[in-house]
Amino acid sequence: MDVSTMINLLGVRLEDPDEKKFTPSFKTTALNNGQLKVAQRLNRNYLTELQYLDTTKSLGGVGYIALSGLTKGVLNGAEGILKVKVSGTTGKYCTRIDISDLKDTQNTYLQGTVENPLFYIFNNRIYVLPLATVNIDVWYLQAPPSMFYLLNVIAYGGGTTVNVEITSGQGTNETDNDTYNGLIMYSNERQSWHIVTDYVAATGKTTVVPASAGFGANTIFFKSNPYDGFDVDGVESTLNQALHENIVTMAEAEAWQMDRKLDRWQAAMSAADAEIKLLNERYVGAQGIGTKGDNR
Amino acid sequence: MTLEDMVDLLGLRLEDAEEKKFTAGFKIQALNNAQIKLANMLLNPYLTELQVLATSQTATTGVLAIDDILAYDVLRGSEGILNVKISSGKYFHKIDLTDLKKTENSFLNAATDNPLYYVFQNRLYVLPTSITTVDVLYLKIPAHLDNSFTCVAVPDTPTPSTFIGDDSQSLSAVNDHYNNTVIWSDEYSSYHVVTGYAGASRTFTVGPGATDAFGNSTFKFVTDGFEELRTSNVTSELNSSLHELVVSLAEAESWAMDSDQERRKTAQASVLDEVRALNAAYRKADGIGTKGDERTNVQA
Repeated sequence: MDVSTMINLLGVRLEDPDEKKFTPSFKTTALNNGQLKVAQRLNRNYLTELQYLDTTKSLGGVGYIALSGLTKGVLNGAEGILKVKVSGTTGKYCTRIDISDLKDTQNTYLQGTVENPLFYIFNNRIYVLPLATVNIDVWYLQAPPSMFYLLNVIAYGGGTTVNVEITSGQGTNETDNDTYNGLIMYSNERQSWHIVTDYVAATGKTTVVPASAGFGANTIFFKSNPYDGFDVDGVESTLNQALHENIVTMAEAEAWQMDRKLDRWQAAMSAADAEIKLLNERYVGAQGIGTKGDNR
Repeated sequence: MTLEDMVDLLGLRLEDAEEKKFTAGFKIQALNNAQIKLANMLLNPYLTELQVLATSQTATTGVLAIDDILAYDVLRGSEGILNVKISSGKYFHKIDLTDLKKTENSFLNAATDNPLYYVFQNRLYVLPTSITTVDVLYLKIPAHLDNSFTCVAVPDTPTPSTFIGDDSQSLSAVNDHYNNTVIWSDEYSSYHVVTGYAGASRTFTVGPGATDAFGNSTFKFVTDGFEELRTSNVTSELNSSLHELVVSLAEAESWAMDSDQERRKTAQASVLDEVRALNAAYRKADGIGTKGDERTNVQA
């Protein structure tokens, strides 16, 4: 479900399709909060789209790396760190320990070594033992990228083939050319559909077909569909499609919070929670390898 | 139950048979959301219609990007991967990320005779990494409830910007009736805007042109309400015994936009109760070998 569909669905649920009380900007914020909440509450095995691997991260000679030094923001803080491994083909996986286990590492049989590396998380940092470890690979859950909806544009070009330029700083991709090629774009100014045929990331210049002579300073939004296979951050939620409706319900709950009808808030929140609870209940872990007796 | 039946039944349940408050477009969206939610909550054995076998998928240095290679989107992320097998070889054993450390033990590490896999970052990792071709059994997202129209190549001189619709599919006879609407080409997996339509011959002219001439295939309307046409030809992929549940779940979503929240709660609760009953009623196969492990749980 793309963001434009989510916004519209949220609008009718809030009995405000004309957007008098709940603006698109507020609804976009509520949806972004909604997807964050859904991701936080679900069993992590439903969130494979959020998993991220950062390789060869330097410990800077101090034996730790700050979570802020990772490429993506981490979901759920320390709980979002799934695995740590010493970099390189011969590097071992690190065993996670709790802060309360630190005293144990002073026992020579239990201390961190190259063959038995350990890690723990403290002060928003990943600490690795032995301290001599140089680089690590970090497997973690990233916070879901923000979704965006209405984008401010200005015209560029001239004559009968005026196209649009997306103003910078609105969350769109500003590094990868052609990111939005092939997507549908709707111009609120012209009230017309267009297909993006070229996108220059550095400038936001977007060439569309059919072009129009009438583009000026106004807004556009992108549209996508479940069968199109486009996977563009921001235009759709990064979470699995099966969770998109739950995001809308969670956003609905947040929106009703600013209304006197608290029963609507409770009804929406309990509906979203009931689905998450059922999903978490039905999760069955992998059989795994080796003997039992651990927390696998 | 066809999509048309579902829309009509939903209309009655919402006491809005004449579609004054709940439009057909909204109801189709609610039904689409509902069938995905239902599939998400049910145990896998109830979803055999969504099971797909993708054979001979290439793993590059032990990695297979799920979205890029599999033909359909996977339901539930890593939970939707049911089994993996070396093409013409052994089945893989699924492990969790927490088991990776154990693979460093020489008795537990992966081998061609004991291959292992795990899912991370929407990718399927196979061990040992020397394995290059695998078969993947997975659950797909149920197909969107929308309708495909027949696309016919222009006789003699097919072009990338023109195709002909099927006369028998109730397309309009009015010139330019579909102008400015967006269509999706199933043949080229691309969007196009209709820039001209000849009603007498059902000929569509689109821009931008496709990457090659339109052949005999199918297309879908995406905007302007035309996507709601011919709902009597569409059926949910889920088992027919689940269709009524799809309608009930869509009913719950529809009542969410009404002040009568009791209706929403009642519809939602009835669906969740039935899903729980179905999940509880499931009996695992006896399987083979000795008991004491969680063998069949993995399949559920």
